[in-house]
Amino acid sequence: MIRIYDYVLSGSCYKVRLFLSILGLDYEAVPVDFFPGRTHKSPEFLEINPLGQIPVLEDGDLTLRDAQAMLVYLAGKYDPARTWYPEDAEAQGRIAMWLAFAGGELMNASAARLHDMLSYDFDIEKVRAAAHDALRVLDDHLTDVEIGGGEWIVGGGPTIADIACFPYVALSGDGGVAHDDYHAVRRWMYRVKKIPGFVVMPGIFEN
Amino acid sequence: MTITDDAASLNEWYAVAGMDDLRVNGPRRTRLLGQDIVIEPAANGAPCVATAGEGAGRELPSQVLYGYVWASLGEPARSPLDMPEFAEDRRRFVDCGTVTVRTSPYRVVENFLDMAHFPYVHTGILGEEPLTVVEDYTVEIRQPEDEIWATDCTFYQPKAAMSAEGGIQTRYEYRVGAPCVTVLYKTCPVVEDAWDLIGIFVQPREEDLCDVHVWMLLIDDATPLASLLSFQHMIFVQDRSILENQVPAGIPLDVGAEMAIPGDKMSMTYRRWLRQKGIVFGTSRATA
Amino acid sequence: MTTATFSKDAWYAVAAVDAVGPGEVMPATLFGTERVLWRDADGEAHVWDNRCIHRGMRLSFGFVDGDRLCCRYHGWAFGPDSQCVRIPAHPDMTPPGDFRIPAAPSVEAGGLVWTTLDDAAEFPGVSALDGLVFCRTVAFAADAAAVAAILDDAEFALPGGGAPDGFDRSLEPGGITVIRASGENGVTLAVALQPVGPGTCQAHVFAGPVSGDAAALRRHFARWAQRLRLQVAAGQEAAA
Repeated sequence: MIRIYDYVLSGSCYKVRLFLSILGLDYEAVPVDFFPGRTHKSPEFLEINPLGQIPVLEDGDLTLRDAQAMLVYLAGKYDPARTWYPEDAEAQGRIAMWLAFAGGELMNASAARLHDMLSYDFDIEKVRAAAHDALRVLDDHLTDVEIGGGEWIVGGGPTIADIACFPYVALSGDGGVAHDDYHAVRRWMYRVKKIPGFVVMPGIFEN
Repeated sequence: MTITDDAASLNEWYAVAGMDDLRVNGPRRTRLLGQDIVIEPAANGAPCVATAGEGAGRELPSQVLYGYVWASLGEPARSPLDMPEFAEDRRRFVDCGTVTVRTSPYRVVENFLDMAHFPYVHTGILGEEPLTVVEDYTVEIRQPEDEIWATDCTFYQPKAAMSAEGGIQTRYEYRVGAPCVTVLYKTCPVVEDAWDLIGIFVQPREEDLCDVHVWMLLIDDATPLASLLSFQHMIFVQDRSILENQVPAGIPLDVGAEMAIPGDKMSMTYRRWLRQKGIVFGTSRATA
Repeated sequence: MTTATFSKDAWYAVAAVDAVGPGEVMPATLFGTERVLWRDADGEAHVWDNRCIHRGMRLSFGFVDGDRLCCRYHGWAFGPDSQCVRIPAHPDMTPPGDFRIPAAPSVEAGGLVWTTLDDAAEFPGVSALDGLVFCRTVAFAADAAAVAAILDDAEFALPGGGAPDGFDRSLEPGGITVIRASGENGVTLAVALQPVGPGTCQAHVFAGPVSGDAAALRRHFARWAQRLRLQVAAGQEAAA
């Protein structure tokens, strides 16, 4: 059975929970006392993930850190139709670009949220501005996609690029980063919510 | 930022730090009613609370109670509420941490007292359609404590607690011990005829910003800590998304400013009670 | 050209008609006043005060159930006439007549949803957008008046390449600036400005006529708008 080290409020963990639900896979969620206990930074947990981060995924002998890596693995292993992570190089290149964005620039929205909710020490003006920059990039891309008749970040259907980007986009309001300016993003969020197997997390509504 | 001049707000006790937090993270620099303060753990004895920033260096009256450091910027007439359950050996205290919410402290308390939102905000957990009816309940202000109590509250809950197996008709009692202090008593899934306690001590930092110290006092030795925290955090952050989107942030105390229905008895009593105390800080004034 | 003014009692575009589909909800702000724009299952658009009368919850976080907008907090349902029709906590109660959300006048015309803060203002009509297609909406970190001033001098390249001989500009009702490229391959660009608040506005960009590849035309002017956005932001930074 797939196991994930999980925390209910973590957007990164939610990337994996969401995709597992969409794929219809059973899994065991091991709750980690992320807050206030910070056990993800404990010596015991560092043996599971030396970066001291969640989620961590275990499947048989495989252990993975990094939510984006988990999406790649789960799509390759459990999606025989290969729609979530297509086999062609161009799609994979484009998906990789957006996975890096989801784990990179978009994480400014996560930082703003951690600052606003749990008093993490960040330069809040800076991270909020950077979060807006990231949302603007995504919105421009999705606007261009819509002009071309498309609906998803890469290609003609949802891929792991959409799953990776969705959580921190949808949660950005928790960090004071609203979606008012990002119309294409808003429409895309409605589409993601309609994917069969879609589940919510605190801060995200189902419709 | 300067300290408020609202006497009614100043003359209360507020929880300003969790003892666990001080133990692990050291001194806590924060704000109370616009006044910067610092709480320093002491090697022997109780932590010390003093003003910082503007008007720094004044030591504030403080006490340790229920796992938290309490302080006051004024002269409270009474001690914080009495919860004898804290003396019971069979109970487990869980410090769920402190979450910051951008709204008035009284909006936070009012949400805590509300059941009608269970099917919508905590869907599939504390409530679900079509069982949305809020049955009649009793509200009274108990004297001489001057506390609001709501009793005979009940709501069907698909998953009332982490340990719950299947839906139950949960019974609740709600208590407001002070404007920023509230605790609920809910059906204990583990022991019959006992209550579990869940409480929030709201620390008003600014009129539209507060730190909410969340805790539980349960009869439950079995459920792992991380699971208990997970459940409570889920519920709280679901509420936070609502709280940060109520307009205006300040709670309107004028009658008729917002519409009320029979199930809102608790919130109407709470607002009337705040109005009678003359609370101004954190309220939406008519001229604002 | 006369200076564009943005008075509070005029009508402004707040979204392209396709910005909000049936069953969808979005916030829309004019002069700092928040509205909710939602489209019911029958496709009709509504613009209301963005606040539930019960506990002040932003209705833009709500959900659509058929022809009703429901508040996310307690599920109160409001019908197309903004009257509360159901209170889930008391399903047998008929909500009183004064349980209604203040509704704003709204019109769909020229491919945009329009509203105004002044109930008495008459909708001017927007023939300026006839024959043009919606390209995109873009947000600017500047007042509508500042962006209108920039549009006074703004130019664009032709979709097929090359620069027009010249440009004619006009101000049209509804906060619309029209820039017509003169010459054989004349193309018209129209920008409907939405004064959101101090230091921020949105621009709904249209262009036409479409001959052949509509997507190419839309893409061309979407990119133009993005470049202008960058220019405005840089200008603001330089000024700061």
